[in-house]
Amino acid sequence: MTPKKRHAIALAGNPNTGKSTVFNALTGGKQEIGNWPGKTVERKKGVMRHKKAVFDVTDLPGTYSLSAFSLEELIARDFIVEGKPEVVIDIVDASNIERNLYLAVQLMELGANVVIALNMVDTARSRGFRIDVDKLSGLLGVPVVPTIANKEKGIKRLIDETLEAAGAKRKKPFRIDYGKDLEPKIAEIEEHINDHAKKLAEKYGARWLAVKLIERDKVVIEKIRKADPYIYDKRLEKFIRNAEKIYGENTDIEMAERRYGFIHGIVKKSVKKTAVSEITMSDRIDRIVTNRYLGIPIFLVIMYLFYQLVFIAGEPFVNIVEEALEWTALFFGERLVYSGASPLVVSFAVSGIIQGIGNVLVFLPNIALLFIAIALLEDSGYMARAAFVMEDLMSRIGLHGKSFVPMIVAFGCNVPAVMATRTLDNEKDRKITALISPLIPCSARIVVFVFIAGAFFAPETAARIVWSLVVLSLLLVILTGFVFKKFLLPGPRAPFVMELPPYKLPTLKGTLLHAWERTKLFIKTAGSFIFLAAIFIWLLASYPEDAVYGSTESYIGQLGQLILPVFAPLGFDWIGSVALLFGLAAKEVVISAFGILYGVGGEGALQETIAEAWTPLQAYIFMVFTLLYIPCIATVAVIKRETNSWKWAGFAVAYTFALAWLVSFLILQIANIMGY
Amino acid sequence: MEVAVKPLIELKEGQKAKVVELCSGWECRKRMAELGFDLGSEVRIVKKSASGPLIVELKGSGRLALGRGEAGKIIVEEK
Repeated sequence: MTPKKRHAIALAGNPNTGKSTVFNALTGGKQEIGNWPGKTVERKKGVMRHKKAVFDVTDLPGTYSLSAFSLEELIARDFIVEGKPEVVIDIVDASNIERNLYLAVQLMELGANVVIALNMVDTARSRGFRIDVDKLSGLLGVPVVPTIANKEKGIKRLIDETLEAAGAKRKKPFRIDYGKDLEPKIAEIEEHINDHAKKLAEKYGARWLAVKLIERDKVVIEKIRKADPYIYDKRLEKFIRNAEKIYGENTDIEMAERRYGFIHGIVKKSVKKTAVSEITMSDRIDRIVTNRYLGIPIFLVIMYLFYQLVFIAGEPFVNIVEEALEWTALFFGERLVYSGASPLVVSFAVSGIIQGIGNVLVFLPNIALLFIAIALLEDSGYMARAAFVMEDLMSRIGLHGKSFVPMIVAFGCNVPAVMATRTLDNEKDRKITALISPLIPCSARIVVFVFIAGAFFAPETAARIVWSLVVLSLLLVILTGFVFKKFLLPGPRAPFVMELPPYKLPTLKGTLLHAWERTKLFIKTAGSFIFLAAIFIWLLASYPEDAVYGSTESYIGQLGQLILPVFAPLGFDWIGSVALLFGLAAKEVVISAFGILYGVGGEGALQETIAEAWTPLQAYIFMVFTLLYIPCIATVAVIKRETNSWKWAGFAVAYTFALAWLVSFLILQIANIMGY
Repeated sequence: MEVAVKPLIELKEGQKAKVVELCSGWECRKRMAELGFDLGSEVRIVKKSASGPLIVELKGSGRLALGRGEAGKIIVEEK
């Protein structure tokens, strides 16, 4: 082996097999996260060094198979063909070996150089599985390495085997015997592909293409048609139909059966399950956690603890960040004034840059804790149960149980909520959930409500007012979700078929890494938008040159007055309308905007000023509008990222604005009729 | 010997059966196939209550949650 040669390897595996733990163990947690080009699926890459070899490790999306059913499966498949990894490490959950080997077999059929990491062998052993690793390896014809990734056991051997496999000569592609009925048909199609689509045949293997054609794999059909439309339409199509004569529309199922049959034979010979109580610990926990009466209360208690962790544990950090920011603003402001900087420069540094960084940093402790809490829920296995428990309710509005989790996260921050919609398998459900989650008031909006309600009402009434806003938001979430599912993105309800991974204790390292990855992503995607929005708002508020910051003469003031006719029917004055513009950068900025616009410092004084300027009804309508109108710029950016389209991000902006206006207007009219 | 063929949803908790017919929707079948739920698989009802999804054991290991609608469309042969 030549030194310093870089090897490309890929990690494949079903969800819930500890794939990211293996990835972390291999790459030491140093990883680069991005998206697959042009896709909204996360891509993780890392580097692994061993002796003199350097490996570029790509973590493929977790999938159960390599069909063309989902984006994740296509990405995994394409990477193996196009990225030509020298070795594909397939992580197999040892206690779910039969199911997990389905992906392994498909990888092998595709011609990948597979090394199997038989993960969580300790759990499998305790559950009564006795696996003859050598026999398994011999029968499959690929190396099999037992690992316990969360204890970093077996990783060294896995690296050694990978290195060896990378150097070894490629074997002949593995074949599944599809039986005496189908094999001649496959051969027939194979021959045609070899004759007429040579390039594709060299890349994918003619047999693999033939098998996929019979399975009516849409992507493969498209590829071949592109290469030679004549051959496909005139010849291949006929052969495919011919092959389908035997099993009809069940042909693909029959072929899957053959693969499972092959796997079943191997498992029978290499795995023994000694009698072990059939009710596992996880089942016992599930008896309680998914109980039809206890399930939802338990869910609510866990969510309560979740937010306790996020906000109570986060508070000291938030205070530190706030103080540090205040101090920094003061320090730099004074320095700049002393050094004779123009007021504009001082204002830019303090109200522009420091405020911008502040908008990002103030919420960072809570966001990071939110991500830690989510990681804990996911890694422990509870997340799947939360979806289970909520399925009954969610199915009534036509959505999936999994849609509920992002909505709960949205109470903390809408950005991670939209990011969490990735767990949904159905693309339409994913979009709908991303679109309706911003209607849920995030912690920044709650801060605004507490402030305004506190200005007008006694504490108990104020609390009830804020609570009424939360209820209103939930009602609207249900309503819009229902309407979107019915009219905007109609489609059959996504089937509720989901794996319930066994409960396990999350590891500290795994949880922190998991949370850190996402926090980084948050800073990268949302942070830059929040920061730039603050700078932009500062520009609008500071210019033209002689305007007082944020006054009616400033651009933002002018803009506020320009759009005032839109808000006038709701009873807002220009200050309210300008404050809402400020709020687009980050919702909590609405309060500081009031401070600027009224020229009042200090929370108490500002509350008094507002209480004098507005009627309680005006204040309530303003809160309703703040609750529902356009999510902050970071949320819009993340909706764009997750839906991969400006169209949907634009739709989110438009519909939330329209909804906010309509609901505010309606409440105002009702209040007027009732004589308030 | 008489074998009872019925939808999965009609099984009682703890009962074992063999899958003889899968749900018909494309997406449902796809999810089933992905999770290893194919013809001939052996299933056991781990948990079933009067409402909400079922928990089933597939091929002697692993737990799957299955919506009631889906469970009504899967036909099994009782053991």
